[in-house]
Amino acid sequence: MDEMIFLENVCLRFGPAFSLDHISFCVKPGEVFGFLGPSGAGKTTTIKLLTRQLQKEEGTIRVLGKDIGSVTREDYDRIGILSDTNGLYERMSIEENLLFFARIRNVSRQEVDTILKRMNLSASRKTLIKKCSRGMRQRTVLAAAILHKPELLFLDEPTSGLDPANIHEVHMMLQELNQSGTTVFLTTHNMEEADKLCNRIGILNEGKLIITGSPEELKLAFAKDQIQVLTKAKELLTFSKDREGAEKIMELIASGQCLTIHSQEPNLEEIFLQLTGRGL
Amino acid sequence: MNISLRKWKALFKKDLSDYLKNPAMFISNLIPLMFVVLYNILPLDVGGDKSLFILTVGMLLNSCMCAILVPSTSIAEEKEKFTLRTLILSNVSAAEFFLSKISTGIVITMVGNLLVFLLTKTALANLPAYLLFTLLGTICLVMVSAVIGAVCRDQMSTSILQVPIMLLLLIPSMFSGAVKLFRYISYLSPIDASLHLYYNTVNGELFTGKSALRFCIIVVWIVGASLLFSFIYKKRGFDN
Repeated sequence: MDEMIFLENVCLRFGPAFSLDHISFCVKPGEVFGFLGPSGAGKTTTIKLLTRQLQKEEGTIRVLGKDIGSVTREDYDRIGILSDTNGLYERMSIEENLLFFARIRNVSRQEVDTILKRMNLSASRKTLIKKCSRGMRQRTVLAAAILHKPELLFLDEPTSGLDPANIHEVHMMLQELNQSGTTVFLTTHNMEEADKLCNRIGILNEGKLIITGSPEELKLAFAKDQIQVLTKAKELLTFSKDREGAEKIMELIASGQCLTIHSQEPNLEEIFLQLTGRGL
Repeated sequence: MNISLRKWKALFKKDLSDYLKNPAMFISNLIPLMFVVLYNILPLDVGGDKSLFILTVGMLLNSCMCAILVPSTSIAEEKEKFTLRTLILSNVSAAEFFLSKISTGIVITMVGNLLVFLLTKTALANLPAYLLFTLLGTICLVMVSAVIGAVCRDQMSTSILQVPIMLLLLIPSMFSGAVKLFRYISYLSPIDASLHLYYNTVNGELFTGKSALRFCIIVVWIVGASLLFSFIYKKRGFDN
């Protein structure tokens, strides 16, 4: 299988406006692909199309190497989904919910215990969902999505509502899952998360896929052709990336005036601003 | 239609446990039993066999309330809270989901019917016939409840449909003796048909023409409700 996910010229309208406007991209097996964009850009709509919660109007979609129309119920055993409409049973506890999904997915009880520990939910496993905080619910839903170690994981803003410690834990777990072969497609408007986790990202705005590439490629593509040097006199000097600039920087280093040297790569939010004229 | 026993068991166990933890549903289903206890205590002159009268009223109330309320409310709640969406995305089929809901409805209703029977101290020899024919009536009502659940988007709209259907099934049967029109309407009711099949069995008149007619009414309800459910499901699916 060359691609786990393949989209070509996919369109979807809600009313007269395009929700997704001729988007094309692919995700290779083992990749972590991030969809970055502001609210309303079409990130959740894309996940819903890929998981058959919505139907495309035009274009081609292939998931797990199959046309989206040929994806069967059994294929959902290979897929994990965390979407904005994932529900949990409110009158059941965290543990009861996960044990239920474990029985549905034919996963052992030990796996549930392991995942409760990884998600920092062991202490509150008996808490009813209706009494859980937003962060606890999010972690429970994420735990249910990855319980069966899927080949392909769709995550719609997976760290939404989580504190920094839990975000870090979730990132570690996603990286481990990816290292064991899971392909991850995630949407986020947290550019640090996209930068940290993703092999490649796509930037979406108003239903259009503006650009795709690895975070490093995008930063280099939009980097200014300049280097900044902070001197001991607390002056920030800017030099061009050429022989002349290099010689001046060498002089500063030789004279002991140089404190730090910085290349001028933008972060993903600055790239987005340059491309669209608006922030994330 | 692919049904996994493992998934059905997990769903059934979850639905039953959730029902017991849902005070609104659980307590409202105790109302018929409370009526039976109350009628047993009160000195009522029913103009005939008091025990049979209480059994009839209790069974009608319990069957109509439990069988109509439980599956449809449960389906509507799952739609409203997006847990149905989660199940579908976890490879649970519509058949497994549907089977779990109707089997939960049947079990809860039949437990209620059994308790009604035991509380009225009817002769135990009649229990097998009572359970068999109330089961047939319950299956009809649970199928109707599934149709309500398939049609409605949430619990509010479900309750708007549930109440008139419950009253339509209940009132003609309860007051058929007093109002001639109700007698004709109740003749078409599946729960009235199952009750009369029970009476006919107790009186040794099971294998007669009038029993066969009652049996046909039940079959028509089961087939009709199943076809209606299939039609609605094909048109709208289950999930909003």
